[in-house]
Amino acid sequence: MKTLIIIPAYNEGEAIYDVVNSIKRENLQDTTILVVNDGSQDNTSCEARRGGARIIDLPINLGIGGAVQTGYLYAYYNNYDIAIQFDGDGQHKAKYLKTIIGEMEKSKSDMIIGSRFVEKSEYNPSFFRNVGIKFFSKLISNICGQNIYDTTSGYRAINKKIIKAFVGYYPKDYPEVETIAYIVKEGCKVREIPVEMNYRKKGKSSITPIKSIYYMIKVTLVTIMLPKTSCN
Amino acid sequence: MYIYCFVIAMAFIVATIIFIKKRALDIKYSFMWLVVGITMAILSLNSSIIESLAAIFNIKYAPALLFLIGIIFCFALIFNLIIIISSLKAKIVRLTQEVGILKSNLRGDEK
Repeated sequence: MKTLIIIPAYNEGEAIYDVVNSIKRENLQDTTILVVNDGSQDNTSCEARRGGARIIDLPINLGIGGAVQTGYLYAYYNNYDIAIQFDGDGQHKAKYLKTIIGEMEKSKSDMIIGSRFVEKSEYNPSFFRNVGIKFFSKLISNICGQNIYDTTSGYRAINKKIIKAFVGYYPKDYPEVETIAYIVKEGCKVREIPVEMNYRKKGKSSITPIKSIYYMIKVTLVTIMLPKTSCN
Repeated sequence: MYIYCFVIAMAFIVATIIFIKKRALDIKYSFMWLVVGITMAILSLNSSIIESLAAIFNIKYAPALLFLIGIIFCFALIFNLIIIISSLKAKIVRLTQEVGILKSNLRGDEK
C-alpha cells in the first residue's frame, strides 16, 4: 500500500534530521517521507532535505492543524492509501511504523492510533497532564461508545476515506481529540495499538498553563458540538 | 437633536455613494449601508415614527429605542464580520497549503 509519512515541523532544525533518518532506517516499502515545514525561522527545511525527505515549505505559519492538513492534501492529490502523522521532535519511535502499517492493512480500521496507555508503559505524565488525559479519554469514550485511552496522541495512521474527510475539514489547533470523535460519530473504525514514546529531548513543549486551560475548554466545546463530515 | 441625526445620516449616504463609485466597497455590502443610511435619515426627519414605536414597546424615553436598535445592529454587524473573517482565514489556509505543494512540485525534489 502506498504510504505517506507526514512530519509537521516548526523550528525543529535540531531534531528533524535524526527523525527522518530513523524512519529511513526502517526500510519501509512504497513509502514517502514528507516534512511539512510550517514557516520555520531556523534550518528545519535544509536539515530535512539533508535527511532525504520530501519537503513542503509553507510560506506562512499555519499551526499544527494547517500543517498536518497540508500533508493530507498532498496524500489526497497523489493518491496515497495510508497517511501517517509522525512528530518532528523525536517523540515518536519509528520502529512501530511497520506494525501500524501492517495493522492498517489487516484490521480494516479507518484510523490506527499509537497509544501510550493501552498497555502499561514507562510514560509518566505530570499530575495535571494526567487529569487532562483521563478527562479526554472519558469524554471521547462516552461520545464514541468505545474505549479510547490515548486521545491526544499525534502518532496516527488513516486510510483513504479519512484522508478525504480531513482534506474537507481538519481543526486548526489541537486537532487530535476532536478528530477522533468526528470520525467515530460517522461510523468510521478507530483502533489503538500500544506504543512507547520518547521523552522530549530537544526543543520545548508548546503547552503553558494558560494554554492548557484554553485547550481543555476549547477541545471540550468542539468535541460536544461536532460538524457534519464528508466521511461516508 | 433630530437635525444633527439627519446631517450625520446624509453624510453617511454620501460617503457610501463615493465609495461605491470608487468600487472600494463591495457592492454586496454597500447595499446594506445605503439601507442603513436611508433608514437613519427617515427616522431623524420623522420623529413620530420612533415615538410611536417606543410607545408600542412601552419605552418611556423614545431615543432609548434608537440606541437599542443601534446596539443590536452593531452586534449583528460584528457577528457577521467575524463570520466573514473566519471564512477568509480558511481560504488563506487552503491557499497557503496549495502554494506549499506547488512550490514543492516545481522544485521536483521527489526522492
